[in-house]
Amino acid sequence: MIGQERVIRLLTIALFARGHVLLEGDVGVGKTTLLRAAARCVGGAYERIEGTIDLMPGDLVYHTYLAEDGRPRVEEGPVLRAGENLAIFFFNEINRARPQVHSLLLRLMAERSVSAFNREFHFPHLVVFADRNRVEREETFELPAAARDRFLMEILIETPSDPATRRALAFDTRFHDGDRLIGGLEESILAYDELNDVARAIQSEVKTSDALEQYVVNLWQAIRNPGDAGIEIPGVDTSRLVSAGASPRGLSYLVRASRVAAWLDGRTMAVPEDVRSVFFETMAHRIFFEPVYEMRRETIARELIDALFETVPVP
Amino acid sequence: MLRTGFALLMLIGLVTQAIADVRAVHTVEPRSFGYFLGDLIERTIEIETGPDDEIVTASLPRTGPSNYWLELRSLAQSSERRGDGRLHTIKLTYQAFYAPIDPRKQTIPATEIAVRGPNGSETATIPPFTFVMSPLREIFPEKGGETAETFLRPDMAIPLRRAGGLRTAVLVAAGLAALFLVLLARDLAWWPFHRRPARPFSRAAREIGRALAKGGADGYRAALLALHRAFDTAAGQRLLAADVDRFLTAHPEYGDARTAVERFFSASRAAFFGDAQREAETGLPAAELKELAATLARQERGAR
Repeated sequence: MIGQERVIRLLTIALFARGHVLLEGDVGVGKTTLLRAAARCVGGAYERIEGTIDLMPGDLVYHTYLAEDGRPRVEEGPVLRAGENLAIFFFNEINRARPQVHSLLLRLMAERSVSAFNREFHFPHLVVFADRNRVEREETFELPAAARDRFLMEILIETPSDPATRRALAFDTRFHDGDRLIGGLEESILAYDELNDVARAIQSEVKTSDALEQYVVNLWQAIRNPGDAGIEIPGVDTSRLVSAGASPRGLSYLVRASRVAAWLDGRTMAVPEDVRSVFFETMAHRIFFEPVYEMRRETIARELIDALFETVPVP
Repeated sequence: MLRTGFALLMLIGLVTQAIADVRAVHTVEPRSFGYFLGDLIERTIEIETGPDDEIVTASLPRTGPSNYWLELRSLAQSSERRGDGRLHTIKLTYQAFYAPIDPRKQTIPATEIAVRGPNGSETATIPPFTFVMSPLREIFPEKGGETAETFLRPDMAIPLRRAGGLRTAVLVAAGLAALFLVLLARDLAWWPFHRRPARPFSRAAREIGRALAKGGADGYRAALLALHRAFDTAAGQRLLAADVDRFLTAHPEYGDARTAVERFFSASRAAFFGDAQREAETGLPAAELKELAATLARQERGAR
């Protein structure tokens, strides 16, 4: 992957924060390739499924087929097949699946468990990666707010703007064959079954001072009531902009991601820069605007968060 | 015969060239009677001369008292070309202070004025001027009850001139001028419409002085906060440690203090986010914090 250093760093943060990631972007920018590469590096069992309009929740947990003897058989589907060792579940084109599937995914993400064959299956090491393209709107189902809230990050992937990178992407033969590109990666450089412990250690070791906690709370307050915080965006009535969102879960995800960012920078204390570096990806998709502004969501969300960091005092 | 005539002509030419050529003296005199004590007598003297001749200024009568009863008040001289010569005009204004007790002749004496030509001088004589002066009143008061008080005419009342209109006009003009000055000041953004450029670092320097005077960890943190707010104001947004490079690029006036600024941000990070107050105060002692604020304030003043 070239030209996506920020996305890779965010993905790394998500892995160490044990959070689920939703990648969003145009067609052909490398969303799937990136997630496959990440899955290969983490190791552990890896399953993927393609979102389609006729996909049903059962298709995720059960695999039904006619056996050689002609009798119907039901076996574990993609989610259950690897058992507890499932490290990464990759849901491609998630917005093509129906809401029924989303609700199953909701449980899988929130509780890391599903019920099947009349019992509970647990996946302690599971991280869900999903992607969706934002070009098509037909035959797609928008993710419910509850499902979006369960993703730690929603990362927007854009085509690299650097001319040299663009030229390399177009002409370097390395990038023509995604499978070979991923095949060339070193496998399992992270021990998937130790990641939970590592994450716990990071969260307990990296300190957040009173000042930082106050800062995060102030940010939270300001993003819920941007008008009261004195945030101004041209052409937007900020006192009526945000209808809901920025959930407490989102805030705890933000702090988790900030701690990991601090740890990746070799610090034992989280600083406002860490919060800022992960804020957009962890919080933007949790903020819900009034319908008037929802259509211009992408630009307004970016401006709102930029203005937020320009306004809320540090420390 | 011809030779003698030629020589004579040469001689005449030489003589004509040798001295100035006063051709005529005219006087335009005022009336010669009916003058009282203090009356002005204006005489105009016209002297016709050759084209290159001029009046010798030093020979003109001097203004001021001429004798015990006559004073020359003013003298104006002008000169213009007239035909093939020049006409010099001299205007003399005399004032007579003679107090006669009966009508009496007085004479302004003759004066000689020098006229300088290219090769010599000549004098023009201004003739004397004789006129009759009369007394203003009879010498002795009449016996019939006239006293010294009624004998003299009362003094003229002092004329009072209205100044009110003028004063009103001046006040209106001054008011208008002030109004236009205000409008002009507003247009050109002079004081007080000129919003004084905020001097966040100068203010911070004062606040830091106060905060550090309190002492202790709280004082030090308050001082750090004051400088943070100053950086925020100067940058127009909240400035984090990671933004220092961008800030110093946009505000090169503070570039000299770069190392100190970076130390400030790392000390602040230690104090606020690392809970390492002592480490912060070692990295940037209070005195140096104060000095940094003073330096930034100075650079801020210098840049404006």
